[in-house]
Amino acid sequence: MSSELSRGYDAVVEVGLVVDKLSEEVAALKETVHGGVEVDEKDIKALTELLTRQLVKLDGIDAEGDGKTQRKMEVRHVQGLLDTLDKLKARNSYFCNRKKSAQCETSESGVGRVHAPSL
Amino acid sequence: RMSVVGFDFGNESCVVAVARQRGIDVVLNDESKSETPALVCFGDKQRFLGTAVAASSLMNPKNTISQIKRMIGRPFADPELQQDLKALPFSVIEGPDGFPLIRAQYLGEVKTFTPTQILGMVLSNLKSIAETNLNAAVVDCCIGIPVYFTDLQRRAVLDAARIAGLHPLRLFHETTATALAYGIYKTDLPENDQLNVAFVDVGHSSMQVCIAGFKKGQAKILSHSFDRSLGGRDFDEVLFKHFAEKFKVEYKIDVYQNARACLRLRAACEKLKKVLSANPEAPLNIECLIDEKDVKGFIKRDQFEQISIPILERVKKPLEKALSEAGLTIDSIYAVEVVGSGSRVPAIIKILMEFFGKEPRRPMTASECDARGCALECAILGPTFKVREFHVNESFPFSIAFSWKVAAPDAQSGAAENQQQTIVFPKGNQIPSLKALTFYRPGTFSVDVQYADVNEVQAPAKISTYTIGPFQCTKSERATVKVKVRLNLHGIVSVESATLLEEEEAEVPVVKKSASEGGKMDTDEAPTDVPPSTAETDVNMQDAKGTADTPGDDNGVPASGDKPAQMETDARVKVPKKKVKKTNIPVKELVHGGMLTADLEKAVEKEFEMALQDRVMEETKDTKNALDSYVYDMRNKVHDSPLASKSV
Repeated sequence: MSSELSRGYDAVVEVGLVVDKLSEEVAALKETVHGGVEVDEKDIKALTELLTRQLVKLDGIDAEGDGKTQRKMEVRHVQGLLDTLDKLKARNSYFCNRKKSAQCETSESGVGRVHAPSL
Repeated sequence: RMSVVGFDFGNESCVVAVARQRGIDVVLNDESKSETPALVCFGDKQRFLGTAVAASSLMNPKNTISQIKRMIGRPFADPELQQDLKALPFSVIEGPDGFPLIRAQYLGEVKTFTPTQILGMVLSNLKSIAETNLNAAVVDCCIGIPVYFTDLQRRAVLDAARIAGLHPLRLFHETTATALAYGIYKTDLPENDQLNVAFVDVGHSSMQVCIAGFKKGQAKILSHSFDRSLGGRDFDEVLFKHFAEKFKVEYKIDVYQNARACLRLRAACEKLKKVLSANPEAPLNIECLIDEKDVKGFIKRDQFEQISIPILERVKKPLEKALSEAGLTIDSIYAVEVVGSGSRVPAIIKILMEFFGKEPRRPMTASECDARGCALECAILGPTFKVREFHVNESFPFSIAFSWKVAAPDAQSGAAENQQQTIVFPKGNQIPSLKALTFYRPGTFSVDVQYADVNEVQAPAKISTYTIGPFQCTKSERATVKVKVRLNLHGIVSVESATLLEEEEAEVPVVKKSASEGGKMDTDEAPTDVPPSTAETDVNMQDAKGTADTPGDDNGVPASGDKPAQMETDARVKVPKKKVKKTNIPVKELVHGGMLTADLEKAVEKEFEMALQDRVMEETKDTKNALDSYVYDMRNKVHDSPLASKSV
């Protein structure tokens, strides 16, 4: 079925579907953090870990031609998401630290996900 | 009914085998795999063990405990342990006793666990896999351990088994288990000519070699050798370093600076190694590794072997050692069997072929040999099955010495006490073995059990200290104390008992002077054809050289006692046999770094609590699922009912 020109294409697309789902979660986290609400750092770590797994999975696909082009796109996509998560993590821990030093109790009032417009 | 189960616990994964009427079966876990990950994951509401972890481990790396086999029974400062810890994602701290403690978030709190506790959890997971398969309780078992496990590591495995509610009939050396699984099915073993077979186990992180001599119905272990940190992972590391260097030059990128890039390259190298096992060359491509740069690499198998030379050279050492300690030449090796994950590397097969001059054979069930052998041994030791007559004569890999304090010969000079040492179980001693030492002491004394050669074990020399006493000696200055020392089936040395021997008639010993020099002792080796469990050897630790000459001078030099040959030269007067009164003397054991009985009991209770919590959570999940499906069902019914259509 898969000729030499599109070897690995289907496998890459399959991983892509998983990545798309994860990217929605990244977007939701981003919205929350950028809205000034702290998130559980574990959520960021978990997403990072899951995306890294997809990245390694992509690396492991034997791809040629279209498959290779598709893989490269997907690798870029995942790395972009991972970079976003890295930035979110930094920003989130900044909240965290500021909160601790100022002894402010915003988290009590801001429980749950507040969907503020993203910056 | 007694369970007959063999466990092979690995650094990465474990295998369970059970004995049935028709033979040994390797048990499949709930994912229908024979290998179960050796993992424990701590969650907010419960623990996850084995296959249940695989799903959550990457989600929760800091609370997922792995590689416990490398950690068990090792001091925190152990350089090999320190090296291993660098690569582990979870937190390990030094406990107050100098041993590692694992920190994890469990039930919303940071808790610490000993490696023994974690191994207990791994074993209880294996136990439940066996129980599910057998549909019966599992208690009796046999557990495979590396031959290089120290006394303390062996004790830790037993403690872990106790925590898991298991009763190991034997801790069995992994390569010996493989040898047993090999020999018992071999129906064409000769009656007289011994077939010598080398078993080489190259695992993920360590290598073991065992040479066994087979005859009909028996195997004699001739030698054991090992390299504690040489395994398949070293080859991955070589490839990783090779490409990291290459990319630094060719692409000006430093993967070491980027954790994610490291991870990707490592994964790619593991895959590359597998490709090289089957192909003469392999490519390596990673897109956007760092800074949008696509890297390309390529390596031929002989180039891989070239860069692996330092590792391959190390493979030869245990082979040479095993051969020389077995007292054999290459020509007398009948066959070479190779097992373990690292045995797939063609370069290792090549080295083995060059070394032994014959093609090594990789058994079909290479990953299952240990567990199978352990289940067989459990069947042999237990009462449940009648197993074909096959006896394994096991050999102990280390020399164990006893040492005790003696007063300096010239007490006037005020010199401190001297330490005297003697080897009680030399390397190659058969397992199990019982020996008796005779001491001549005026009162309570202590004896240290230690490794004779610390370099062999890479562990603290001192294993344990036994305090023997108090006792009353009424008849003479010194009492005769017979101390029984056991090297048990698990390969653990302990003082079993001490007995005060008193002659009923108050007669002074007649032996005036003994010929043997200080530090020497006499052992009357039991004849080798005596079954090992009853083989008792007498070792005499007589106190002073010429006891009667220097009364009161406790210099504790062992001298000859009842060895017939010397009795004739030393003692002119033959002593008539007297009636001897035997009294047991209390023996207090202190295992250095060992778990105290009270702590073990606490750990058993704690494990029970945690297991209960897991069960409650699993049952809640089941109930919730049942409720969900009920709600779903009801909703469908309601929607389908005429009442529902009316309301629309």
